[in-house]
Amino acid sequence: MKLRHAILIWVAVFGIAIFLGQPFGAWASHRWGCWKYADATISWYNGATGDYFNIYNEEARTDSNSWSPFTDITLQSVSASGSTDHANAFNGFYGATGWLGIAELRSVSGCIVRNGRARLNQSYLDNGSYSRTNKKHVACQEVGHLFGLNHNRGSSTTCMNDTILTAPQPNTHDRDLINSIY
Amino acid sequence: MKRKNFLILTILVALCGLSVSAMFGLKRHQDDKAQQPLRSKSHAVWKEVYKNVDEMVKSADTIVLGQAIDRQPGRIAYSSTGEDSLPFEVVSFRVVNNIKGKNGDGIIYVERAGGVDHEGNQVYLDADGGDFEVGNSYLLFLKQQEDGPYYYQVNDQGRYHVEGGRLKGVDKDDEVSMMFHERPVNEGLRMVKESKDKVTGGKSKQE
Repeated sequence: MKLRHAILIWVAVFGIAIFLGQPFGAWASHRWGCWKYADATISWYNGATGDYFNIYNEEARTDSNSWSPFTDITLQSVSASGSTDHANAFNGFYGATGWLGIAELRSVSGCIVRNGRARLNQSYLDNGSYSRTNKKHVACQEVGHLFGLNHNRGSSTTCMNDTILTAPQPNTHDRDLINSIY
Repeated sequence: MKRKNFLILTILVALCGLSVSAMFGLKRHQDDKAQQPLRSKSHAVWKEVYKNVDEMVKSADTIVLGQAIDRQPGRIAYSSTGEDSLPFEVVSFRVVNNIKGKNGDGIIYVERAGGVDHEGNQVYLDADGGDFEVGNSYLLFLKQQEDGPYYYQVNDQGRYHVEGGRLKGVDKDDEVSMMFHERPVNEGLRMVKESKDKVTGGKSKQE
């Protein structure tokens, strides 16, 4: 083969490889900044009421594909909210805010989350337009944010996709990312 | 060149390409981390996420270019058990350019989560783009509260800070935000007006 032809092929291969390598960068971008808890054992306070209490527990700890058994994270239930190494979950009527749920890192130390809060907005979620699956998707996503994950619009099988409400569980990509963080 | 040598070199070139691409991804991630402000942050599941500008323009009750002129503490909402509180603030905007919707006296009031909670803790939420800065101008896509006098931002796609004559979006990974991000203000306004004409069937009369 002539060298000129070989070089042309190599340029094409290099370009294709650059294109195909982009998903690796995207993989990293599904992490939310540098935020993480100190280690994989996190105090879990479920301060929700009614079925929202069940929804949070299912998404965090009891469903087979919930955050705690599905990933390396271990959630230890505690009886009061806390601000040292805590993921706290609440529900309430927060009004017309535009959001169904919100995850807040209330206090951090460097990149270490000390006090994370997940909130579900009943002003919308209780208006009859949202199924239990939808509510579980929101709860799953807010809890996932607290652990350090960003939105992921590239997959319809993860609750970290903020454009759908029908995937109330983390997927294997989330699990791999969480396990690489902790 | 021998076939075997060619194939080996081709594989090496492909691996180089993948490595370079992955390194750029990693660098971008590290840059994001370096820019991470050491303040509390937030992420939201928005009620509505728009696929394109037309959807957002159609959905918004009001679209304005406005200058933030005041921020005042607002209500405090509590969780169902009362142990968690979420403060709100009301930001006043002087309307510079009203593209959609009505605003009677040229002042519009936007409510957003943030401020000081019932225990005196500063709550910083930036899922919507963070605190508005008084004196700065913003292109805002708003909805009116059904049960209150205030407006609220449709979502994080609905805010563009004016900086150096250009619009700055909140989420640099979002397609709709990127349609406006870094565009000159006048160009962004023209885009919104054209979209409004399209979604309203050509009735472009400014309200």
